[in-house]
Amino acid sequence: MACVKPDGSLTEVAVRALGELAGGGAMEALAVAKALGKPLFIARGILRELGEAGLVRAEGEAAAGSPATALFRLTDAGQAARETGRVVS
Amino acid sequence: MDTPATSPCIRLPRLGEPAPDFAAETTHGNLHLSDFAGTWLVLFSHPADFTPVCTTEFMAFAGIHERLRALNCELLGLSIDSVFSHIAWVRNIEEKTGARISFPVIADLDRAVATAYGMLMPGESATETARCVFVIDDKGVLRAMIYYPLTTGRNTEEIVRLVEALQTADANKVATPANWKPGDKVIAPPPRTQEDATARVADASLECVDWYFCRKEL
Repeated sequence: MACVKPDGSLTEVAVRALGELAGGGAMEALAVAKALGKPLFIARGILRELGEAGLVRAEGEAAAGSPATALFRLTDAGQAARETGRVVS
Repeated sequence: MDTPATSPCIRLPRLGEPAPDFAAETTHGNLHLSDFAGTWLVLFSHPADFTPVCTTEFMAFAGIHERLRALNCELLGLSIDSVFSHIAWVRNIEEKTGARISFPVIADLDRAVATAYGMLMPGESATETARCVFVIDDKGVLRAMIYYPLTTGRNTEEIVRLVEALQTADANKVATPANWKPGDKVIAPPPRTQEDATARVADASLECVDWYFCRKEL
């Protein structure tokens, strides 16, 4: 479920995930999964990819490697990407 | 042939221990084992894309996917093929048979996952994974392994039964007898003391063959 295409534009599911986070504040992966209509493991993969791209940051126990309890929040770069549909470098 | 002196020393996974971690490219994007935390997982390998026995297996795995999901269990396939091959094969299966392949498939070109899980059987094939099944529980612990040779397609009903049996054992602190199915009687844990053994055979709620062998309804 790639989130960022080679040209820097976002995939549809990435835009939707960022939109959910923009509207919902800090969200658990399970809430993102339900909003996207995707299995939890797919939502975790999406959130990880968005995190690696600097568009989402994990809070709480996520930094300690506990994806089950992590909260995810949009970063400023994520907000910009949501508005433009691409990663702004 | 490798000799003991030249063979790489690879520790195979063991039941009851954490399943080997992985990060892998799949038909559903990059996935890590930790993405499945809180969910049971059936990780299975097949020898190669676009081969007949594997195609029948993929159709059969697709057929049990929803039943596994109802058990909070996901499916994840693997072979030593590229993600492009996987995508083409999955599309071909869907087009030719109507079976929708709804689970991800790992493209393990560098054999990292296959090696970590002991899926390679050089006596059978140097380039293909055997038909392996690993049941990993919701805490990431390896709970069951099944290995089949290249010639023989797996029985996916047995895989559903295996997950149901493991979950039943966990939930009720019991064991399950041969050919157990949901609804059948289960095996009460054997007593650990003489006093418990005496009490066991007097327990009217149990159906005992002898003190060490008692069945009960759930």
